[in-house]
Amino acid sequence: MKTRICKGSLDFYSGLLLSCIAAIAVWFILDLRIGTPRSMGPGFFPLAIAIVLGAMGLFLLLRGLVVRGADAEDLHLRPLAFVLLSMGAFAVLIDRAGLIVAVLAQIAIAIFASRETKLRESVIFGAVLATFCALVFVRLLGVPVRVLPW
Amino acid sequence: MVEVLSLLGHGFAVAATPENLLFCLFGALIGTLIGVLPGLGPVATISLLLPATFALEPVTAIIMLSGIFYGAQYGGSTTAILVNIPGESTSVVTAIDGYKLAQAGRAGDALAIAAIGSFLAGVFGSIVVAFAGPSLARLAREFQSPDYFSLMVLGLIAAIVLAKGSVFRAVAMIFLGLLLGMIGMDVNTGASRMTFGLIELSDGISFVAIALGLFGIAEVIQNLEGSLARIVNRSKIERIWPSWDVLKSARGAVMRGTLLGTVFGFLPGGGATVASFSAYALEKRLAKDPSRFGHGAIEGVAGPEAANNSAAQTSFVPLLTMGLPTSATMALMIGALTMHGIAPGPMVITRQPELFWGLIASMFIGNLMLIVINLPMVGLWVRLLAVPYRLLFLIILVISSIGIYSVSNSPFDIYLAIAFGLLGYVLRKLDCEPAPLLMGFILGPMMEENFRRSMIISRGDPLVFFQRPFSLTLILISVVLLVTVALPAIKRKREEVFSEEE
Repeated sequence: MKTRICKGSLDFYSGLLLSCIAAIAVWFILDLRIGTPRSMGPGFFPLAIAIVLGAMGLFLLLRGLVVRGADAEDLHLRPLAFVLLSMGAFAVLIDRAGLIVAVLAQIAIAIFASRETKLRESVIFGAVLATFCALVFVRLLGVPVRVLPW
Repeated sequence: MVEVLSLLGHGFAVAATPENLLFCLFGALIGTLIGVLPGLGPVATISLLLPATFALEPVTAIIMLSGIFYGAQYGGSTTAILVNIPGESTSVVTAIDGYKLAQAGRAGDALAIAAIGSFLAGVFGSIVVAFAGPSLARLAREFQSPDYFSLMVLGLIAAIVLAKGSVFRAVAMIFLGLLLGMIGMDVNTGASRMTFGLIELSDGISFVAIALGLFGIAEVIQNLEGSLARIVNRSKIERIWPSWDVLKSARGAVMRGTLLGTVFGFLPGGGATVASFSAYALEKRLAKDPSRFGHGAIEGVAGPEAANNSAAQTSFVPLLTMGLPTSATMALMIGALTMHGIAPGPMVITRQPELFWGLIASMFIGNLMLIVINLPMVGLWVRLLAVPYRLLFLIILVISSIGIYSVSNSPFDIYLAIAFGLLGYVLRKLDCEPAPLLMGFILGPMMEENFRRSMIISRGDPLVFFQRPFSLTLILISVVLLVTVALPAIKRKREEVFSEEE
């Protein structure tokens, strides 16, 4: 049984997320000149927006604490983690090891995102996809990137 | 009239060059493809292909991208009818009666009526664009900064109307988008804002990264949550050409749907999805025997399909004449035009006539291509559904990564896309729609610029937005729209419409 800190976790978490983003934004905006409506500085418009966003976030947060409401759905960590990790692997490898290695590494990680992956099928499919990408993107469309690590 | 025709003739000369024809066909094919495949929408696809259009002429690029957009409306209906999987949100209502018709062995009738209805509606919509465009642009040429600011406000309110779920959350998403749009160098002073000291962010967040993260990647993660198995029910297609009786019974519905869609396309917040829902509701109300609906009424296919396609065409009018996007896809088109150095607005028609008229002419050609692509080749598209999602998502991820990388040839944008994929997934879980966020992100910088200019003109007096007649009208329309959406009665109706979609 989960301990409940709030009555409507959907509102609570959305509010928390939005007010945190707004707070970070305000922190960075305060370095800029704000100015007056008559002569606005670079910080004026962003600050106004961040304040409205923060206020809306706080409202949702408080409503989530006080008013009984819908609960947030759980995050599915498995697809989330493997999909994002696979993109990260691609980003790290693309300049260092070339397109083929980056694509193969991405696929090798991404297949764990799905419970229905079949290993042999994925291996063949990954090889085909990597070759296809090298041909289409580098040969045909001329994306300036190394194909192989050497 | 004569003038429009001669300009249109000029447009056909532009659209009929071998290169433009080829890319129009590409667009139509890709559009049909993503229309057929669920889990890959036009927003993600267009942002994915944007980098690939860099090398093309602006006209060619925009012809292809719009082909993807209206092509998706055709493709979405095919799978809606044959396998009860609406490929796009615009063909959700088509599935209701279309699939019943297919089960009753009348798939050919439904497909043909959907394609013919879409074609006629598309052609009619394009004609309306040709005639309404120039006069609206003439009007919009009188616009000044305060008017533009109010126009952007209207555009953003439109995003709320389109979003399902709570109005409050949609407004919050717009503000989040506006804030993200502010990141980067300030155009007036050159100060870098909220860049966290990262040089890569000084030009702002790449909108390919944000669009693909929020829509493409977040959607993949969400689709991978549940079971991926899809039941593909193969209904046999007897013949593809409908009988005279069927054509006659669908005739009225096609005409009404076309007109309805044409009007809805113009309206901010209208758009193709709302148009198709409204057309279905209209047909059901007008029918002598409403109980047939839901059990295979051909009008239930004809009306919505015509409506979504004519709306898809006419939604280009506010975009090209005023720079006002009426949906997230149209907001992407703004991004695409800007990337090619074209500022969407009333000047497009006079300064870039080949772009405006070439695009309209390509819509006629593209619609003709689509009917050929869709009717005789329907079997091929259905077979594509056999590609299991466990392989499809790998293709989406790999191509997204390469696409984002190729925008600036640096991995930085991929890291951004990862962050926005995470944000997009979390927001979906929190019942927050990403579409208003994207609209805010794209309109934000333009909005700020016009706001600041207005404030300089008025010496800091915010009343300037209520003193100019254009601006006042636009603000009033926005207020009416916002109040209407928030009214309890309309709210309930809206929830009904969107819950049918689930």
